[in-house]
Amino acid sequence: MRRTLAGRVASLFLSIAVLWALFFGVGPLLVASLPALRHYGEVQDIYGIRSGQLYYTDVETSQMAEMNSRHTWRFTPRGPDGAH
Amino acid sequence: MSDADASNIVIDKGQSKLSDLWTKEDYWAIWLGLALIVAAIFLFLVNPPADYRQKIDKANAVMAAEAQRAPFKTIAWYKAQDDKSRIRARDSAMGKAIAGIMKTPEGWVSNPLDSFAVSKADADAKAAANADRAASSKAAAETALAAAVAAEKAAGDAVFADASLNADAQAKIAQWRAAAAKAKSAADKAKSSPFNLMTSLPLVMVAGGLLFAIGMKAMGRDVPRFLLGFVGVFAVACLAFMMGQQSTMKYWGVGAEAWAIIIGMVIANTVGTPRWMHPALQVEFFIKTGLVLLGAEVLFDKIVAIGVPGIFMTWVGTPIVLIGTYIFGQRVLRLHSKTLNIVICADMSVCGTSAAIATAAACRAKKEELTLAIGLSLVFTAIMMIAMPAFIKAVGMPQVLAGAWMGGTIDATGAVAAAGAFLGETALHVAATIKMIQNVLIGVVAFGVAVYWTTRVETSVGNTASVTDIWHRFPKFVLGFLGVSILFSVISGSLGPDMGQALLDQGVIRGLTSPARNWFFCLAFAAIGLETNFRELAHYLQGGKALVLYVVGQTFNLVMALSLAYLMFYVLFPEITAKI
Repeated sequence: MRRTLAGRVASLFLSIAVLWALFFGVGPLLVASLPALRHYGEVQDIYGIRSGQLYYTDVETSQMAEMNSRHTWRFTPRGPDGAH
Repeated sequence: MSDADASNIVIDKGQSKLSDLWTKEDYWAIWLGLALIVAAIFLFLVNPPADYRQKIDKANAVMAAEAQRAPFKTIAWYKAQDDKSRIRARDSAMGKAIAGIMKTPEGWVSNPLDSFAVSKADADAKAAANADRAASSKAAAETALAAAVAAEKAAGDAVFADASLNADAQAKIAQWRAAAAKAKSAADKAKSSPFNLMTSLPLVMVAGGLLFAIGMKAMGRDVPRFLLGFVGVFAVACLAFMMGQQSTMKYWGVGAEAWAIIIGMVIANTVGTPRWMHPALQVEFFIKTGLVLLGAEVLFDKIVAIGVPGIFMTWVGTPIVLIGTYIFGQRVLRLHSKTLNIVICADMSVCGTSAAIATAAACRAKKEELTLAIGLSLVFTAIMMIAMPAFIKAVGMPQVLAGAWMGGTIDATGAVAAAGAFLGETALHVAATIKMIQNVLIGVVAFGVAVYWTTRVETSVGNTASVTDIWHRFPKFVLGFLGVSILFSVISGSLGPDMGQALLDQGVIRGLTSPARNWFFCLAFAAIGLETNFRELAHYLQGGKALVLYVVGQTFNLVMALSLAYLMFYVLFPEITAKI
């Protein structure tokens, strides 16, 4: 069934309205009511992470994570007698 | 496969001739990708600054000495590591200029235009608003550092023989690290500077359009119509980047690529994709070129980053989950489409969207199948990246085990890092490292799937399996992807982990090839969305088999990853776990 131009434009605006309500209405309400979600957003800001990033090279903090892991093996802290 | 199906697959099928080298899309994806890679090598790898080696040696000497001095990571150990992390080839004047041009739309809260331009007055106002917070965060970090110094001195005065003093010093140092990260973030926000992408975005559009136009011309396509349509696809990609940067998107894990599909689908299924944009809906060309560039980021030497536990968890556990789930999909669920099955399995077990793209292209999956796999991944990632840290916190799971578990199971890399950061820096580091090693697996998975499909799956529908036929059908761009990966792995290995990170990771890759790959994938997803019909997509959802496959596979993944993480980090290598 072919829709009219007015119908198609109306469905475009309806889609935009639904997405807008979801992400800018329901979403912020959920965040405001759940402290754990707020903390989740805060730590992303602190470490410069975006949860939608695809690959490790997109995540800036992955470099520090890799360095820390690699250095843990390479320069394992053992102390003065090496027995700790 | 019907003709209709064949026209709807991610890669084309061809007969091999010498002229394929300059007339086929697969080869043009390789040539264009290689052109960018060669440019990046000349810009960042040739003639590195002489003081890099000196700085690295100095930092390594400090860490080696501190490792001998104390049985835990000291303040000096961490400061030396921080110094090393600041050695980056892309911080050169040329690197900064390229970064300025390749910039994607930035973060915004309520005004979408802030994503594209911020005036000096607005930037100054933003900086001033954040100045107090930056000052208080800086003071808190200094206080935490002073407490850490005092605790480390007390432990040192007791020759590091007092376990309680050592534990106190470690806890204080961890608090200082967390406070320092917070202070750095606050300081960055207080240094807000003006920008205007309205000058750089047209440059990226023209450069990207012309780059692909070279290939289009050689393949005999209509270049002027392609360039006209490219303007529209590029505009959708820009909108997608803008939406992905909106401040609340971090809570749901919806990035630019997902938005590109959403925006494209909304346009296609409401007002319809304008005809003039159709010549630029070159999904396969954009994806394949992006994948060749991604090859530079698949560095096999990364797999040793966290030693045997990391290798075992990702390179043993992940393939078992992938193959086990695929067999379940074929034998138990009897999924009609093998390509949908393998794309969902790779997406769920390896690393989400990036693995789905590579696998879909390698096995000639349909666009709707790729879209469905990414949609499933997005939904479950949004749930898992919030539910897993909450569960882990409730049961009091140790950070190393938690990080390894989340790194091995949550699909998207950004979501893994975010979930790790929710628990603390140790969980973040372990989770991000495990995920990075898993990311590297996509090279092997894409190649393995391409070989399996060419030699086994496609022969089962009546094709002969002679070597020549296999070569005809094999997706050649996969060879480009794997060749670039091997070349960069060799270069990275010969440079060593430190120089490799400074010049390759933080130069060639993050300086040019990775931002370009980001643009190409976003263009591809915009094109996918603009070509996707809701009704065709709904066809794949019928019966809910795809959903069942994902849920069963992810459950298996969760059990397998937790078991292996416990075995590796707490039974076989507890001494390393204690030092992470």
